[in-house]
Amino acid sequence: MEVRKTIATNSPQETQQLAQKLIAKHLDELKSKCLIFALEGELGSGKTQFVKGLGKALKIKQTIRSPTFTLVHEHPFGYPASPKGMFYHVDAWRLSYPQEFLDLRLDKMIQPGNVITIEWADKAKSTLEKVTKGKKVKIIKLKFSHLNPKQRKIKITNED
Amino acid sequence: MKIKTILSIDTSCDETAAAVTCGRCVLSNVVYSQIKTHQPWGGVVPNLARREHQKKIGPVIEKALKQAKVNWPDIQTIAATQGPGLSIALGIGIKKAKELSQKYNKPLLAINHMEGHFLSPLALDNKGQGPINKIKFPVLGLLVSGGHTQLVLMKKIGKYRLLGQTLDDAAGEAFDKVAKMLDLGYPGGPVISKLAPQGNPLKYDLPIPMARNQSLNFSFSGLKTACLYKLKKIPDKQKNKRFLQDFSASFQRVLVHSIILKLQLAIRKHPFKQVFLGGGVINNQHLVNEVKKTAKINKIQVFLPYSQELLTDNAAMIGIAAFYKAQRKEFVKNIDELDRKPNLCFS
Repeated sequence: MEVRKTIATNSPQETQQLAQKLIAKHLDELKSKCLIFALEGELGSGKTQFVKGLGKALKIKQTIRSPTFTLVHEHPFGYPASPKGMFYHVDAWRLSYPQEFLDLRLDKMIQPGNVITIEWADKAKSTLEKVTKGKKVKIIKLKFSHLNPKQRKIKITNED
Repeated sequence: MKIKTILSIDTSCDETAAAVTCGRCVLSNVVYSQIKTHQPWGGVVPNLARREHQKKIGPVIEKALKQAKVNWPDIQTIAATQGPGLSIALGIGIKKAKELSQKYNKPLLAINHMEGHFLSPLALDNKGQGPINKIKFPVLGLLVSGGHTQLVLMKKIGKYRLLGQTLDDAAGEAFDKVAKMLDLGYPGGPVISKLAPQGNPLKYDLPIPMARNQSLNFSFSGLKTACLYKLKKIPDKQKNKRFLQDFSASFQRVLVHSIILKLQLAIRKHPFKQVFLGGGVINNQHLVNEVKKTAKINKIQVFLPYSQELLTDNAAMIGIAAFYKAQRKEFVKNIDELDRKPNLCFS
């Protein structure tokens, strides 16, 4: 089943709020699944802002920063799941080949209760399909684009 | 027995690094970078991560021992970076350090990579020369790299407080991403630094990030987006060398200005007498010059490491942090329980 929706946000705050609302709808599924947010969109289109919103919803206190340099940031979270889940913030901007994605051990991150967010997911499409095949995951795809300096267009696709 | 000779390992991200230090003296400092030597205007492949580290860690350690002219009996302890960094990369260094610690029966020290950057100005060259005569606490650390932008206060060695950090992109990352927009390849930050001195820094009007914000935090993603919009308005045919120089200079001016504003704010909020600079972006001459100007007005001493090789990721700086940690006898108690801490932070 595929659901498509397009939303415009008028500020970084609105992009964060959208993330909070979106993840709230799927929190129940964390009990049995790994939630994956696959984000696409050019530089400055609001991807990291969206991830900040997810972090807020999961009550992560640490600052959610861009993981471009380190490739992966890990933030443990305790809400609402118990025991704790792990929030993986992945960034493929620096990667040149989709295979490099495997090196990041995405397969190990995919566990029920964990949330994985991938910025520049378009760079790793094929690998993402491969590693999630047959696993208990909920993948939510988001495409970010600039409308003007303040406004962003965000296209959401939910997949089972 | 006083610990002096230390073998240090750092595999926090792209670099596989090992060093031998004796006290604060750097006897060897070997780095194998996964990012191939930068080729201006060409594509560069960041060759990831785990496999490369695995391949290089052994030879890099051998080279560090050989260059330092020491053998295993001379090494008194082994230090490894525990975090922050890329988990799978950190794991390689820690695993190697554990193996060597058990094989040669040496105690182990787990080090914070960012403490290494902070203490890097305390390193001495192999003749025992270094920039600092006397530390005057508290010391401010301005740590600016590809992955971090932090202001940290050191009350004494081993005691730190994070005063502020970037809320989104690191300064070095902003350099690299704007370079990408200018088609300067990756990592293009150093190319911007090279082009900027020939350009007119006032040619392009860009917003100074966090200028009115009273916290000591940084933010560079807004500047990045402002650059994107500015560049969209400029026709491609106008994007010649002169343009690249002017845009680089304008971007650099604004980014450095925002760091200086936070430095000035830190001086007002947390009086200190010395500032230590660490991290790869400290290779940017304009940033260092501006820090020195601000420091001079406020009668603050500025210290950088004795060599540029101690600014980008390296293991010698880990050796300096390890030397002090050994003096405090903060060795790893249970080696089996030692694990990486990818999001390790100053308390």
